Amino acid sequence: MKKALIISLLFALSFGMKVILPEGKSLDADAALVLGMVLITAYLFALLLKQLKLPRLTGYMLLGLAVGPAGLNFLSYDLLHQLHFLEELALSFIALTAGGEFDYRRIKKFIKSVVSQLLGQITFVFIGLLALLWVFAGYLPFLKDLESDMLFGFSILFAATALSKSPAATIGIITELRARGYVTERVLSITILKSITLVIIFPLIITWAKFYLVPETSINTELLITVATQIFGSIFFGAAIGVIIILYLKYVDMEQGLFLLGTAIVIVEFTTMLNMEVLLTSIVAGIVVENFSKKGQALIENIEKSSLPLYIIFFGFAGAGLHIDAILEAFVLTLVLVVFRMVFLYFGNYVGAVLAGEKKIVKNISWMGYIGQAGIAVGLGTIIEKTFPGPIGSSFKTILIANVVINELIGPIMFKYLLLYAKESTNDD
Amino acid sequence: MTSLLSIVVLVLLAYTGSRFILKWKIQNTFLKSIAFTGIIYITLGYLLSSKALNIVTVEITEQLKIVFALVLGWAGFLIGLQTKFSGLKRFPVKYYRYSALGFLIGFAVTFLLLYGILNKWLLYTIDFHSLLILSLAGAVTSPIMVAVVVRDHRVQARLSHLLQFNAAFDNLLGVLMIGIIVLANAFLVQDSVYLTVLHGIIVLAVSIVAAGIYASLTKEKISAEENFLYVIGLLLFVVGSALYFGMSILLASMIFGIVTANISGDTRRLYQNIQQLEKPMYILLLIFAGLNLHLDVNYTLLFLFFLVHIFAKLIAEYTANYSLGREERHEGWLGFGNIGMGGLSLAIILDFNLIYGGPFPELLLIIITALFFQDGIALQYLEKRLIKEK
Repeated sequence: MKKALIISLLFALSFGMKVILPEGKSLDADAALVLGMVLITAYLFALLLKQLKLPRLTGYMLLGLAVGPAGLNFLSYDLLHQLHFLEELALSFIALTAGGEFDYRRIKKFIKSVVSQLLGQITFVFIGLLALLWVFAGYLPFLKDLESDMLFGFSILFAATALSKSPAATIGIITELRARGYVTERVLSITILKSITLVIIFPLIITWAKFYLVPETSINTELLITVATQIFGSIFFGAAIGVIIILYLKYVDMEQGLFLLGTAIVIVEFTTMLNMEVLLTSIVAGIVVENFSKKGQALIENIEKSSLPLYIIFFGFAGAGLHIDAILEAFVLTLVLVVFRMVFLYFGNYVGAVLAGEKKIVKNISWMGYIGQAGIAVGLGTIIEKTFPGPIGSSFKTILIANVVINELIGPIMFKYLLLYAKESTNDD
Repeated sequence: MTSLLSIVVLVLLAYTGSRFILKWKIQNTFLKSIAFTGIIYITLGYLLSSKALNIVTVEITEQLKIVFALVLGWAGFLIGLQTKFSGLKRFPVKYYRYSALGFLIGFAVTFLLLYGILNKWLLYTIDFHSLLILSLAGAVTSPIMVAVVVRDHRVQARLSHLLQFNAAFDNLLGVLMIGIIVLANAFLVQDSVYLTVLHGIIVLAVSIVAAGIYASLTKEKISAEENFLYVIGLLLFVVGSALYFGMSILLASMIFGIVTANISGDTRRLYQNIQQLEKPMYILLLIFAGLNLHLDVNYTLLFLFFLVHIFAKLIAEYTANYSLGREERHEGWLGFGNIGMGGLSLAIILDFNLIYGGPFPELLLIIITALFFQDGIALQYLEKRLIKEK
């Protein structure tokens, strides 16, 4: 009740100010005012939703939608554009954290099984969704009016982003249930490895889709060299940043929050300047720190603690950027993508587990641990939006976010069910 | 360089600088005054600016204004957070009288002398508000200088107690006064008492409501990151509302801090947490001052301010000292110890400029020059005086 009152109060104050003085006296006034309001209200709204067992990220996104251009328009397109750099910064933090969860020592114990299931999921989900969208596009609103090249390009992007899975949400549920055991280890390892694989191959996928979506694009040696440079440049730069972080931890190790903020800004700016991938660079930096420094895990925990305002901004802005009309138009497509992603995940996981000689529980129901999507998926959507400016990018991102919201709602519930079924929860509550 | 990278460079400089100064045990008084007046960062800011190396361009300086507004808000919030009414009772009334008289006389004498001399004899025109702001910036005292001397010489005498109180209290008065001057300027710009008062009341209400929200949210047990989120979110909201209606950021955020200190439960942990960022924030403020600095100033005005300000501070201290009564009165020209102005004088000028602009670079150079020389003199004098007292 108190939280709802505070949200209403801040809304009323912001609205009242706009009524009394429609244009602020300073250009920066709007940005500071709205940013402060969004930070507080989005967090409180997420806490309210948590009481209904809904994930926090959904709260941030829904509040973003409410204050964005499609809602009350406190967070206008101009402001979203002005504060865009904060989104990129948050993306770098999310990827650093995701990379920091990759502990090779843990995964190598059951690497064969992990690789087998991972390949099964990637193959089935990607090829399955690509074929499904290609064959049934004529019956799906939003896709049916597209030309064949355009349709294939969109299908590639939808199929590729469907592969993503949220490491943060997975870790969140494992922590909540204090889960330990056979299934928990495998789901966590595959989730992290899948995120890394996807981020590495994503520049290739984008280039492939560009070939169909942007008419003048042709695949030639020069383009392939550019993509290869982009991938290897990002990996190299990420590794260098990782080494710098390790040296800092070893020789300075003070004010980690401030240092990480600076590091994230350097990653964002240099990757933009040098045409590299911010996600890939950050994820590699996170992996290097986690695997080559004793203080890596503590650092990653520190990032998670200090980046709360950036997370809220990232997901809040993603919600604000949603186009309601595009969601409504593509509602059927969204449902098809959500349902068939699950179907293909089941088959991919089953085949991979059978080939690895896994236990029955892993073969039959561990697919439930791979539904949730969050930061990485939205991050990929942001990359696509940037690569294809205009209606293609923004429509795609809107549909993707609608998918993420649904998967993010049902994913944690299904994963929780899986861990309880496998009797790996040690939390008595 | 982009605005984001500029922030990194500035934060990095601010951070390493603050670490360096904390570790560096400077013995020489002149070097100490260079280090603690922050002249190094101001010079650095100037070198990075479009007037010198053009690393931080004019456009980027504009884009960074929101960051600097937050820094000002932070400064105001910290001043407010130290103002707990229950704690104020432990100081004798005569301390308040001494401080208030010193501040008001210093402010009035500086203003009247500058106004009279400039208009009557030099025929140099400077607008009324700029003169008020300049006099106000001169009326506040530097708490850092007193703190440095007390720390280095472990002075615990009654006089050092009075000086520390004076520096803290006149900073509070300075922020109150800048709020009133900005309000008066808002009236001149809008030409409507009703609108000006309405806007002022809204910003005041937002500051109080923000503090109420913080107190309400922190009644439950919350984590350190939630605490930080609430402070930063509410401070942004308060700073944004002040900017939105053209009111003083320093005053709005100080009110937010005062109400928070007095209605929230235990604010000691909050103060300790946010104080960790005080030094880098202060250095950012100095760098911002350097970025906006212009060297083409009227040197007559600069020299005049230097003399008038010292004279006004001496008169103010003499009168304030007299008000303490025969038993409490101290001997000698302690006014020299009070001529240091500190970072708040810069913050006052930046606060006004962020909202209304004006002949800001000129005022800035005057204050920075006075800051450098007068803080040095104050430090030299205080060291001798406080050691003698000990």
